[in-house]
Amino acid sequence: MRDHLTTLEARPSRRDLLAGAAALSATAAYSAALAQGVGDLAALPHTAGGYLFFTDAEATAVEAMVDRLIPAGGVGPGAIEAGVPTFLDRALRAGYGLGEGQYLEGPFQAGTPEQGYQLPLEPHQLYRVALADIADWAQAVHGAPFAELPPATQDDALRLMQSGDMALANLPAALFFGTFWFDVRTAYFSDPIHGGNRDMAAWRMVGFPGAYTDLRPYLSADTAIEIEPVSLAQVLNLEER
Amino acid sequence: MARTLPRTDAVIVGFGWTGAIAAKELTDAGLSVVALERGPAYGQDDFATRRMHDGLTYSVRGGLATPLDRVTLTFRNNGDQTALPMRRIGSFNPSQGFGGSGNTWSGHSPRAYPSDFVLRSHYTERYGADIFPEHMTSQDWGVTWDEVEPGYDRFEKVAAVSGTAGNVRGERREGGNPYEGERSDDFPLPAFERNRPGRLFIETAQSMGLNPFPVPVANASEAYTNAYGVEMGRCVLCGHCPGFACAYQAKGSPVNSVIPAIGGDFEARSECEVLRIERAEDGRTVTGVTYLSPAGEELFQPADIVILGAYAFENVRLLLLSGIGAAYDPATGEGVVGRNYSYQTLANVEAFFEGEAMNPQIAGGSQGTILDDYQSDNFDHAQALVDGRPFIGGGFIGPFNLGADPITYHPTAPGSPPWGAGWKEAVVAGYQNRVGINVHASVQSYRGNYLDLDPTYRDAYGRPLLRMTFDFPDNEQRMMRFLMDRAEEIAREMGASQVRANGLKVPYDITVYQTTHNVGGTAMGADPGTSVVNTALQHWDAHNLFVLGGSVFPQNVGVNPTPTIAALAYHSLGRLTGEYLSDPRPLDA
Repeated sequence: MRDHLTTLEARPSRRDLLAGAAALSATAAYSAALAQGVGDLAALPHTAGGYLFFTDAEATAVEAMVDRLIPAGGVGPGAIEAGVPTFLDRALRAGYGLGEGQYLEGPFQAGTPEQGYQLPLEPHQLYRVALADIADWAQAVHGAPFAELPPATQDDALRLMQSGDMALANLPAALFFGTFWFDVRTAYFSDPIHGGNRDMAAWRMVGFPGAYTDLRPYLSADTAIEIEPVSLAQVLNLEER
Repeated sequence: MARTLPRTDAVIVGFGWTGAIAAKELTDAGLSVVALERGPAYGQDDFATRRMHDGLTYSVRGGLATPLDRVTLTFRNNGDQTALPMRRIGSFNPSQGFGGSGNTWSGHSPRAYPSDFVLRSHYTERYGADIFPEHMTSQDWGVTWDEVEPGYDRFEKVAAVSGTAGNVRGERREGGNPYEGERSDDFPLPAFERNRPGRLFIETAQSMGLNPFPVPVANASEAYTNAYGVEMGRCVLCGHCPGFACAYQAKGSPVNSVIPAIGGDFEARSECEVLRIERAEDGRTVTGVTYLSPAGEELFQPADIVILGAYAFENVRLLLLSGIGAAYDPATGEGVVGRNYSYQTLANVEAFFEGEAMNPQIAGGSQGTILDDYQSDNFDHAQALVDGRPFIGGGFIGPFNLGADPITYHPTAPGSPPWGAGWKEAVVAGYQNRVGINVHASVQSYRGNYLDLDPTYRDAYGRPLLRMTFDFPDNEQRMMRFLMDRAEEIAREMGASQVRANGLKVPYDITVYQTTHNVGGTAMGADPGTSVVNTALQHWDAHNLFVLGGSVFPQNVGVNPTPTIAALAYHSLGRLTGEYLSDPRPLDA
């Protein structure tokens, strides 16, 4: 916790990173940021590619899945434009993906649904195994990678995954879907400092003001309040000045 | 072999609410005190930043929580199952570090009721002994309202509790809770204005002849200098409250309200894991505690008095690991440590108001509006039959807006698509037009709901994890059906266009967050055959060991437990400093 805060304080300002990113090719920008630690990458704008955890094949499948779960158009941003795959890629390499704060000691055995997750896999391993299983399933059932299936077929596949009716080789499909859909929504709505919710568009969609502080003046409102949201990236730069 | 440190008058295990209150009261009494805390040394400066508005880090990832890879527990619904570890944050989420769960609570501070403390005798007198189901082990606490009330008053003036009183020295006050036990004084701060769901709930409930009121809350409605002389800030309704530490020093907490006032001969040591409490050869006292330093060195801290003030689970586990008191055996009903573990029942009715804006973002602990017409024994249980039978207990009903960070709050109306373009539209609507009418109620104690040491799974230090065996019995299921029906009536009367009732989930499911209101396992009482500590919270088998915290509840009340935990701590510490120091002995002999 304290180390995490220290890391945040030591960061170069977002403005510097953005200027740097604009001046370099995407790959070079990521390399430069990588030299500063994984955390800095979260502050970079989403760029297609440049994944650190996902393989190319995994990234293609993940992008296709999140594009169906939260498609572009309509009332708010799609998952791709919000940077959801980037968030997931970074999170799986960081504490969350490595099982930080989760109990992973054995022995391992199946329990009741009420006892919860009992697999020996850290989240990054769960993703790796599940994405390989899903690729195998798509190939076996449809003869093509998930990303190349028609949208309606992709939706059907996601529904099978959610209901647990998709037979995967190593994992209960519903278990992965539950984790994945939770992580996708987390990516979509978290402060942009973590790599998703780009331009706070998901916050604007619902009217959440983010790290805004004093909401007392609005308490008596009977209609929807409108406040320009504030991200931690903006606020922390101000605090550090 | 542990290295022995210089002795201290008192050593405190755990530096959350009860540990901090104990440190303050004992140093004020002139004692030298050492507090040991397993988590980091948080102070106000760590929290006075808008980093505290980071929903991912705190609300989702549990940045202030006790990491499960360090210590978790195992769980099963009944003794026929094999308990398995809680591997991810689920049903409850205690915090660690200076301040403990006091950093991350929402501040809800309702008092329990006078009849709650004499539950067994009160129900027996009013309804007859037959109302108690077989295997229900709920009991009297051994203390009465008049003994506990001064502690509530003290806590409210320390934690900056803002509220509207209903009964001050017998005088009925409008707008407050008409059922509340007689108060010796008003709240130190007035209640906040109500948000839109609160206003709507009050108007509707009053039209139905019910008695809604603002939930008392340890969020300062105005800048406040508390009973310890600590200056606290004013709550700004920032919407980042439970799960987060307060960035504005406005939430009553050990860090904001108590620790800055501790003086005298005092030292708090962070990142120290207490391994066990050491028994004396006389068999009647303890000698101190053995713990691991941050560098992993085993140290023995001798002390004349040991205060066990950790979260309920760790209080129970440390007594079991230290072999102090008889472990409970559900097969025989004998033994006391781990007996009478209980929880609370949480459910809700979601009311959707098409086209309306409820502004859920304007939030904090203060934005709870409840009614206690179906709480405790405020209603005639002989008339509240479910399946033709009465139940024991009750709870409150009402809307809360504790925070609306969309990571964890993006409700959708019944019939909405689970994902896709339609889901996005449903989230936009549901975020604004949904009001959750919460039901939060008691859980009685039962012979088969208990805590013991797990035979298989270990913590990061190689010690057995605690094992929880727990489910919601029939009494609690019927009580919740009654309360949910009342909540649904109110939601419909409020004019909701759609209503969804999410009743109590049975079997109890440890994977879904419900509440961090785990209590019992070291019950207090007047009978050493059914309690671990006496009415002064002094261990029956070791008179210089005092146990503070939710673990002393013999069963759970229908209200949030923190004010009662604190009130009992003040009661215990008053007897410790007033009766024990001058003549150390069993106080209830």
